[in-house]
Order: sequence, then structure tokens, then C-alpha cells
Amino acid sequence: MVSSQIATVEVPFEALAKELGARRAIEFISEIRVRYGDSVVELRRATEKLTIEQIEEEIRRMKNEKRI
Amino acid sequence: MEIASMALDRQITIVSSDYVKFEIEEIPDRLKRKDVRGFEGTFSSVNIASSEEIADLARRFSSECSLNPLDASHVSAACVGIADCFITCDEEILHGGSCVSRLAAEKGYRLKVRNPVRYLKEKRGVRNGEFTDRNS
Repeated sequence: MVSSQIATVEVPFEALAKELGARRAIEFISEIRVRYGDSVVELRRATEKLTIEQIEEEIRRMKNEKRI
Repeated sequence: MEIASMALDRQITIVSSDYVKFEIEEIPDRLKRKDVRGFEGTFSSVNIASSEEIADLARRFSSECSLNPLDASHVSAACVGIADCFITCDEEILHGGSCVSRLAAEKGYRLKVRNPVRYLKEKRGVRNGEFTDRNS
């Protein structure tokens, strides 16, 4: 049995925008990633149980780690 | 897409915040997270830093308008960032839109909550001199 592999090429959006222009870059991303699903629902699941204090603490931690 | 174009043409300013950046980092899918980071970095030109003022306001929005804590933080950051409009597809925030506008006004802010379709409709109406916003 022959198995097929799909290569995933990851290009940062900023690089796409520089190359294609921001408008075309959005169209491009929308076209190739049509199966993104419902972002709002996914994010709500990930964050709905956090309190304001936990959010503030997480932001402080991420800033300290230079992640945001 | 049209809203993104308006931001690129500098017709509008997209306001981001530490809360937006935090939420982006919580996106479970790595590829999507990377894309959304790119969108945020490309289209927003202002960032509102997290603060105790925003946290205090968020507590009010959360308790009085039944928003979850992160949504309440986004709305509060929009107020503090003097945004005119909070654009969202989130039904729970849209549902609490009039409460948000009322409470924001009590605190001296002027913030409308709109879905993208309504926002663009109103924007086009204003441009054509046809629209009077009775619900803001």
C-alpha cells in the first residue's frame, strides 16, 4: 500500500503580505485554509473559565516571557 | 475583507490590546494562531496595554452585562482605547450590546457594538449621507 504525504508549507502572514500585498494575502490565506472551523467557539472553549484575575496574571506572565 | 481594506487605506484604525494578544496565544491550532498573529500585527496600529483600570471596568461589564471575563476585558480595552465601535461576530457580546453601550456611556465612553455586516452597512450609509444611527 502506498501512503501519500501532504507537505505543509508555513509562511508567516507578514511575509505573505510583503510579497502579495495585504489584501491578496488575506484572500490567499482564506482560500488555502478553508477548514479553519468556528474560531469563536474554539476560543470560547479555551478561555471561558478564566477569571479576570487569572487573565491579568497570564498576561503579566506572557509579557515577562516576551511572548506578547 | 472590506474592513481590512479600510484599515489599510487608513480610513479606520484597528485597535488591538494585550487581551487580544493573550487570546491569540490561546488559539489551540498552531497554524491558525500564527495566521491570526500575522493579521493582528498587520492591521492594528494601536495597542492598549492591560491595566487595573481595564480590569475594574471589565468586572462591571462582566457582572452587569453578563459577559465572560475575557470578552468583558476586550470591551473595556476598547473603551479605554477610545474606540468608536467594537466589531464582533460573537453572538453573546452582540446580545449584550445595548447594555455595553449604556454602561460605557455611564463611565464617559462612547462605544457601539456591531457585527461586521451592520458596521459596514452603517459606514456606507454615513458615507452616502443616508444613515442616522438611532441605536447608538
